[in-house]
Amino acid sequence: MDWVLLPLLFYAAAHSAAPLLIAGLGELITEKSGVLNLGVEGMMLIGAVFAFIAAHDGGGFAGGLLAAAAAGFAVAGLFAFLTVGLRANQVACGLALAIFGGGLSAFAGLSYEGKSLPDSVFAFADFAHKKFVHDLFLLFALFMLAATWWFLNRSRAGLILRAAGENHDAARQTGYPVSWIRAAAVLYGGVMCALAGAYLSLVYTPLWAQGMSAGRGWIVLALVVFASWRPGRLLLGAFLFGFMGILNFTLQNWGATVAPEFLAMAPYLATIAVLAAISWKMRRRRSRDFPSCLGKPLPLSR
Amino acid sequence: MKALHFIPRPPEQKAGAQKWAALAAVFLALGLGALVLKAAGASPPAVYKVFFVDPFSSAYTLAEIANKTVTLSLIALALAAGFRANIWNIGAEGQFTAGAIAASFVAVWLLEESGRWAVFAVLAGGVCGGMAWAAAPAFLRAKVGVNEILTSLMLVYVSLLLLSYVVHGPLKDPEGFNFPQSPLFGESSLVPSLLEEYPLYATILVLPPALLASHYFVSRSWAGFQMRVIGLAPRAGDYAGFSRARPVWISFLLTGAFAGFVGAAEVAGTAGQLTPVISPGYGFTAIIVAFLGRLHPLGIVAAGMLMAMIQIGGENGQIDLALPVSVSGVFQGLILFSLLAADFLVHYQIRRRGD
Amino acid sequence: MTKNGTDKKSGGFLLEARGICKSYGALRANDGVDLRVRAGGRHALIGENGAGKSTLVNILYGAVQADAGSLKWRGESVRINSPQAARKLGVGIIFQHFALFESMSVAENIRLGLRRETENAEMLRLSEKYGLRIDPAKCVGDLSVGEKQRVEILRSLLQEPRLLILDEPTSVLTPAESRALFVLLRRLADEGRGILFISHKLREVEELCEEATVLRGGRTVFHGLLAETTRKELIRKMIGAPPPPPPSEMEGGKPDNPSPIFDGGGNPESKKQINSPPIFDRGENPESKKQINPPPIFDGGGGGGDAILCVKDLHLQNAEGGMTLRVPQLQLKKGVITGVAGIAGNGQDELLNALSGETITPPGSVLFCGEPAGGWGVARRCAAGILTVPTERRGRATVGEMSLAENALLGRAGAGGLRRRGFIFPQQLREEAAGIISRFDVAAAGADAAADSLSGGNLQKYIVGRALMQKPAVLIAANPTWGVDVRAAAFVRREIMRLREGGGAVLVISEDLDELFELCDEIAVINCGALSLARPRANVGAEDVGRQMTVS
Repeated sequence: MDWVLLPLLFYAAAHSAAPLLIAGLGELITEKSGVLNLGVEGMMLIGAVFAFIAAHDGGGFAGGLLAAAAAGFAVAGLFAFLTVGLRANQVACGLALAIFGGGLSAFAGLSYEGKSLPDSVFAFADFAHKKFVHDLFLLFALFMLAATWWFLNRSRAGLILRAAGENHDAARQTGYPVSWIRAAAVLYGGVMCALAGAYLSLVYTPLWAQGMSAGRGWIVLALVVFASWRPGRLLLGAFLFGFMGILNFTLQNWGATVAPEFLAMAPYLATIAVLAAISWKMRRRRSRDFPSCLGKPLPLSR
Repeated sequence: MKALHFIPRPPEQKAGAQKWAALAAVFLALGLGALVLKAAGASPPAVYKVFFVDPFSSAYTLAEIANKTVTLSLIALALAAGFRANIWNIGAEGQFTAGAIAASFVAVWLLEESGRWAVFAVLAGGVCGGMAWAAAPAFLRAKVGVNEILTSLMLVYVSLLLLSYVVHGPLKDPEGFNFPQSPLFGESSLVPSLLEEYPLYATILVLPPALLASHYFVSRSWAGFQMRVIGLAPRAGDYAGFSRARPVWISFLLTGAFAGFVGAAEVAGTAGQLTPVISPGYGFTAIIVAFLGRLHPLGIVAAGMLMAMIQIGGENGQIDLALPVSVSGVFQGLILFSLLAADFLVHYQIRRRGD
Repeated sequence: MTKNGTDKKSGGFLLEARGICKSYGALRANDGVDLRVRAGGRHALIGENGAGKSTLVNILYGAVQADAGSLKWRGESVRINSPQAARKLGVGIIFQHFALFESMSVAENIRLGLRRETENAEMLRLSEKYGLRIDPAKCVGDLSVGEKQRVEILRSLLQEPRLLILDEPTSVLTPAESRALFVLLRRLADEGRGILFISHKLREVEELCEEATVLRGGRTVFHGLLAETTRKELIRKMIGAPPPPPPSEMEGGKPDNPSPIFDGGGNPESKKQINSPPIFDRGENPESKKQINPPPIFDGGGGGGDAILCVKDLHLQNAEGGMTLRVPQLQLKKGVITGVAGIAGNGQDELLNALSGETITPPGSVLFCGEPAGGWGVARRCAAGILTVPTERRGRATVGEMSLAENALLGRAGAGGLRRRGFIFPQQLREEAAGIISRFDVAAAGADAAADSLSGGNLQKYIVGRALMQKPAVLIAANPTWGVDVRAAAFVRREIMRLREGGGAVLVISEDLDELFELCDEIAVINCGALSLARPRANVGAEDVGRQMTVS
């Protein structure tokens, strides 16, 4: 065992946690408004592929981020139109988005598989190269965490967003435009998930591979449940899963001889265990921060 | 004031509207798909010719489509039962994989067996593997109340990693030049083909009875009735004293059995051995097949055929038009989106205000 | 309180509604309603369930648009298109079901309700002024119902309403909370605001209000000063002409039975105290405390064998709604229809569920033919012949999108020949449904018609028929004729009586007193979750029961 590496492992875990945190914050806002978007995986992949394409084809780093955000906005807009506008089943639409995102990203990114990004993409960070970009995303994630906390707990807009998710009938009765609030929350969630995907393809790996998010989008959904819809606990959960994500490196470093596949299963099995524990704890009473209208379409007005 | 408003459609009209919505969705998706293809630089008419016309000029392709239709329809039939009761098993891909792994263990164990019963043992192994894999999310949902969507999906990833472990470890062919794959199964463990020249697997013989059974299960069985009631009106289920846990177990075990069965048939048929990649996403595509088929047995077969055509077309297009296989994923998503949008018109009628 | 403060703006009505009509399909919820509320006046709106009160309130608040009629606000014609418009005019409303965000704090709820930022100081000043003390940091979900109501009122008051509408505000309050509310409402009226107080509880109406409007069947049947009428008169207006009471029940007449329980006439106050089992004693009334538990005059237990289903000392704490069900004793006997009178939401649902098996109770608390049956689930009770007809016809008693034939399988005693070895038989289901349709005169397109395609009355005939076809030993029916047209209602009642003639035991839970008096042999009253002992119909009067229902 090499204890000297411990801080480095924490550092690596934080980087592995960053995309979970970014996407988780987006999904948290979406769910707080009362919409369950199961398509996180699809939105992350779409963000990842378009970020890579834009950055690779001369858009640079900023162009990649912008392309990811725009793509996330577009597919989330489609989801919002169906679920918020047409009151379609949110579970089915989320699954459709996950499948569509997987297909579209694979289709769009086919000729980019195995390519690497030109160095010019990271020109702005020349002095420290990619390490610095890693940290940039981590800082962004932490900043957004604080911003989300402030938005939900201190701002009037956040209060109204929570109202829409807590009791949409009362919110509508008071005169708030519940559907528009929800649409905005879905769009924001889409952008955040796409940015998390951009982190994966631009910085974390950095290359494009079909299905490269490897279930992170689904883990994010579990994380939001684990966090009981509280930004602070999302950080804890993301870090926990970030650690799981680098478990194979960690244990190998410590000389464990477990098949790498079993170590790679850890995040998924941990997700199930965490969900079971949370459900067991909450089987009598729901968390206070649970948005009571989650997944329920707003009835059409008379 | 809005000029339009929406009123709920009377229930008698819904069944008819559903069929039209499904057809409309397919055409809408093909239209949107043409735009995507165009954007990607492909020629939509050429692609659609590969999808929907070319297969009929090749018996080989038709047989391939039939095989895939069987696989997709069998999984979708089982999924549909759960969807009716609002139980969302989206981990059929994992149950498929688990079935394939379990079947492979049986097949490798029976390598020397020459009796024809071996293939049944292999298929039974698949059924058991799929059911075992499905039992975990069912247990968690029925006993602890864990959301079955996430658990069943997480187990997909676990099953794929398990598959990778198995082909690299316990089942690796010792004489396979270190390739990650199992030994070729014995002749007696393979699902036979019905035709000499083309691989049309005997699994297709299971489809008609499965269709009948699922039709009877949904419309004639007491358990199927309970599941429909719970899906449509949970409070009516409580009033009638129906258990809420039972539909969860039934739908998961059923899907596990069917997905495991076709998983076994896949490795004991097409491949004849266990390889690191055994499915182009059958378990997920089957979800779309179930929805597009409106959860109806015949609808599911039709939708399964369509999806099989798109998938095979994607594979053939790869060769003919330099089109990626993943184009089928785009179409799957588009069809599902179109269907969900069209469903609005199933549930509501549009009227002018004041009518 | 007197009337000195009221006529500040004599003649000037704050709100004047004339000829308000609103139909939902064939149902005329409001059929020419008139209502006038004075500024500074405390006005009561009374009427039975379904009389059209909530429709009227929704129209006044802009949530629903009237089909016909006119509204005047401070003398000028207005249209109230939306709740926002109503708020702008100065109409504040406190719904029975609060529009609150449970997981948020009091302060957050108030900020949301106001649609603008408030100074905490402003809120504190108002809450101090009106004695509405609530900790603004507390979560609304943790508050008592009374405190929640205070949040609603405070939120409303911050918008400076001229007219405050309160929909059944005391139905959820303890007596002490009610008294505090009345003090506040008087004060608000004295400031010149109009109060529209909607209630069933005549005692409260008399205590608080000066004027009243009585609705029945969607029409205004009375309007005037309370000082100029009697409670008896109001009850008569509310429930329509009471059924001809049996002789012993006539005004002032002494019954043959010497027991004070059967004292049918005389002073209503004294009667109430004697009749009320101690469960009604909520400690607010010093007189009732002195009252000794009357001897069990009508102890059906003595009847022995003919009681099929008995409930004894059932005490069910309800986790969510807070309504605790208390049934000291209830006996359903062969050939007897027992009625449970009460205003909706006083424990009827809980009682029905405890009897149907949807709620499992301690085994000994429910006895079926002497056997402990509290632990039996729905299926076992059905198989034993205990069938229920719940209030909710659609979505509970039937599945709307399924055919009548398939719906024949719900609420069924055992297999009944319709299913064998795990299978159901469509042809037999169709025959069964067709049998119900023809035998009970259900107007339907046939056995294959979807349940949702039937009118309420025909669907109810089908549901009741479905149960009666099985010749149940015990039938429990909740509001069997609620929202059903007159002919269908009469039909359903006749069929229930036929079941009694055939020796069935029946429990009818209903808000309709006419119905209970027409049908039942014995009547019990449920109020605040407590069920009184059932007494023979001959010994209770409609007004007496009506009062018991509204005792607070």
